[in-house]
Amino acid sequence: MYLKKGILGLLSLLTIGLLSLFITFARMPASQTIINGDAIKSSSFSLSFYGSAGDMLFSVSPLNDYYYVNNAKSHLEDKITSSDNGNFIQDIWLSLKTLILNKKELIWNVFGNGASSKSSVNYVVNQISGGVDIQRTINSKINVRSVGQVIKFCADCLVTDNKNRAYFNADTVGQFDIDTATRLHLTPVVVGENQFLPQDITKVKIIDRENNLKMTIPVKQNQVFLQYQWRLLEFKANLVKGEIHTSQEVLLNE
Amino acid sequence: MNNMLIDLIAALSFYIVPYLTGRIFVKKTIQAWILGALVWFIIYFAVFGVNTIVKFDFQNAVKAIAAIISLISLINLGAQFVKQKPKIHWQNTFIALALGIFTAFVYFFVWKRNTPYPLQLNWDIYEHITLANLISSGKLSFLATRISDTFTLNSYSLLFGILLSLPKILFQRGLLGIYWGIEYWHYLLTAVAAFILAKKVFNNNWLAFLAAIISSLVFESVVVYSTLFLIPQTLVALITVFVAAQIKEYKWPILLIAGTVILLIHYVVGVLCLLILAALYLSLRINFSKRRINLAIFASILFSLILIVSNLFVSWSLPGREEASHFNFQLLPKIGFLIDWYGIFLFAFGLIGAIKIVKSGTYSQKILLCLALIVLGIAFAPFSYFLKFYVLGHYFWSLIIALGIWVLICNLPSMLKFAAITFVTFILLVTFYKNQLVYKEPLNFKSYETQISCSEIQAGNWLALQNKDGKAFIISDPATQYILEAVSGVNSQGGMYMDLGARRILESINGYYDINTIVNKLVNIKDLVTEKPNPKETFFVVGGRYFAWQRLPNSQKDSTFYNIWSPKELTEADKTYIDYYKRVGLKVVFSNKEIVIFSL
Repeated sequence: MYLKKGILGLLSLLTIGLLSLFITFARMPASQTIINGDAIKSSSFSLSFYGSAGDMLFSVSPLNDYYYVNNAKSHLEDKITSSDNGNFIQDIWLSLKTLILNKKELIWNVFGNGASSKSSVNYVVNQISGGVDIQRTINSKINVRSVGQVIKFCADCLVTDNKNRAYFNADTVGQFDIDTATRLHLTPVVVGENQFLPQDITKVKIIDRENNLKMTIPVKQNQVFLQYQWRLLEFKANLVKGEIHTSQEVLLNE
Repeated sequence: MNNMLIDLIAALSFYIVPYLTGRIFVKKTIQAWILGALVWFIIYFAVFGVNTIVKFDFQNAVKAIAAIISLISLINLGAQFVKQKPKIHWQNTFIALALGIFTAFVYFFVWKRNTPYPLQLNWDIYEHITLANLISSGKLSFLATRISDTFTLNSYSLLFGILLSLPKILFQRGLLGIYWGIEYWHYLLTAVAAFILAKKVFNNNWLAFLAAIISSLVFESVVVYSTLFLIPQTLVALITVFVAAQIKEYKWPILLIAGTVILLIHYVVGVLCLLILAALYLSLRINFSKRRINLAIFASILFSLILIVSNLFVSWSLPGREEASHFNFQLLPKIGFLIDWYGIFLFAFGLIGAIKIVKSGTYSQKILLCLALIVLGIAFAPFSYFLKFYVLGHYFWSLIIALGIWVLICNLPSMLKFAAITFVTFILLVTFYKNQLVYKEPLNFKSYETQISCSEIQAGNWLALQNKDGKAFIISDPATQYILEAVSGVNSQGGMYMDLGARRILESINGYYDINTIVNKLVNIKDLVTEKPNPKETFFVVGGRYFAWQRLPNSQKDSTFYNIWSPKELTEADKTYIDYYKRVGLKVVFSNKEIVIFSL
């Protein structure tokens, strides 16, 4: 009798406890995190990264990212139908991980319609030394060969590299841009939108027009494309056969 | 020994010096502390009074008195120890150790993890530090508003400030670091208070320990702040709980002294605490019949329900205080707060615990339920600031929730009981973690969570050096001067409670590009309390916060409710403005990455 009562009580306790946790997570969704003073917020359409002064540094979105099949490229999603920040178990796991290791992490799962079918992209932002690591996992029926990891960088910022070159697109470059690059002791280089940046660069640096470094992105084996008009920088990475995820480091100068 | 450890130990003098003082007259720990606190209140005014007639160094006099009293008390304690040879209660020692380890883990590993010494998470401390700084320099009055214009309302006496000035005077250390340590001791004591009260009411160690865990992991992150903040309202609740736990042992004189101290620590929350203690004392003396006490529970439920439901129809804000309207919450946000603090523990286990008490609770348990319901009703009444009263409800409801959990696990074998308590602790820890994360979210600065930055502390220390004669004056945005006045001791007009005239002057300088006009406007900002209206040197402090404040709409700049709560870096636009000030002739006397100080 006592044991029966005890087990009933224990089951009630477990139910109330888990329900309490569930409601807590529902009230306080993990839709944003702060890493070294930089706020990372997920919205319905993008994952945005803000500097400690509240200025937007960059954003990522499957509406900008690409996948490649037989050299044809399409956006990972043409339309986002829903998004979340992980399920209940992921929420608990993430909280515990942050609590114990003091390492911040943000999950952003995006569901939508790709070029040919329904698909989902899972973004995970991890805290690394000096910045963040953005992992993209693509769940699609299509056999994706390469992924274009696109960063939409800050307004009025310049794209430079570790060899003191500043990049612009041929159809949008103006005299003001050339003058700015010269003033900052950078060599202006004009590239086409479908032409990747020189392969001798190891780092892409984003600076403002006062030469303040905003972020550094290691290039690794990627091909880098620039669409300056839309402030988009694409890092094309080939996927190893069978793999569905890519990883991209962004070092934030805060 | 590093500064953090020194301050952690020095912070203990807030508790130990009054205890040693009272211990000369009474033996019980809490009674000794209460009596000691009142004695120190009297000592300060006595020294101040004599000092107005015969001039001497105020701090040296306080130091000498503290040394003599402590020495007498320690000799007395030592003699009693040798005479009585008290036995060590191993069980109590083990419980105290367990509570110490648990609270230290939560406080240092979760709460202060990204807030290293001496950075802070409690916005209210700066006004208390300012007051304690002034008290330690020998400025006393029965009204805080007569000492500093940082205070616009006298909701408590100087007793809290006097106790806070003790570590500063005795150890000659800045109060920012002391406060970092003192709040841990307060946190530990709140857990101990919950344990003692629960042990008294339920007479069960398991249940008492569970109540202490619940109390430690429930942080009322809006208005209430029972456990993690040491401010007058939380201290008065803590003392009340300690007194309530042993009220039967209190004789009339010490009860009157306790009442006086409670009232002196907080006039408003203190009144509620006194009413609760009076109700408890009378009900324990009179011993109502079972029928009457059940009737009292019914009346308390009704009272609580009427006040809570009245939120749907009435809303009253304290007139004449613009800030008050922001602290008058609707019913749904209030329920939201409870969920943020407790999850659904208050609704589920609180209800189970309450039903258990109604069905088969003891007399004192039923009184506890009555008091918990009354406090809940008052705290959730539709009046501004009333949520503060929940500071007392925190303890009562921790006990009732613990009982609710105990009802479900009491039939289990010890091992499973332990597992169940571990599970509850885990759920509450995650709830606490999420709750404190939301509280700290706006306070992120670089890799820290803080309301003050190292650069601001550095600027404050520099200002302190310029204020050896106490005649310097600072002008900045409300938040910056509030913080810097506390760190440096340099006077400002009102700190964050800057009056409307001064705010309007600061707003008005934006439209001017002539340095003489700017300076002439700024020097019109004057302290409203100090007897020396013309400061020897006036510093104009600008930084990331200042410019962020200037960018707010005028309606927000005119309000004491809107502040720049966390440190801010200087933006490029801010630097351009500073360069402009330099170009037109303002003299820079100090600068670092976030703060530039001009001499006017």
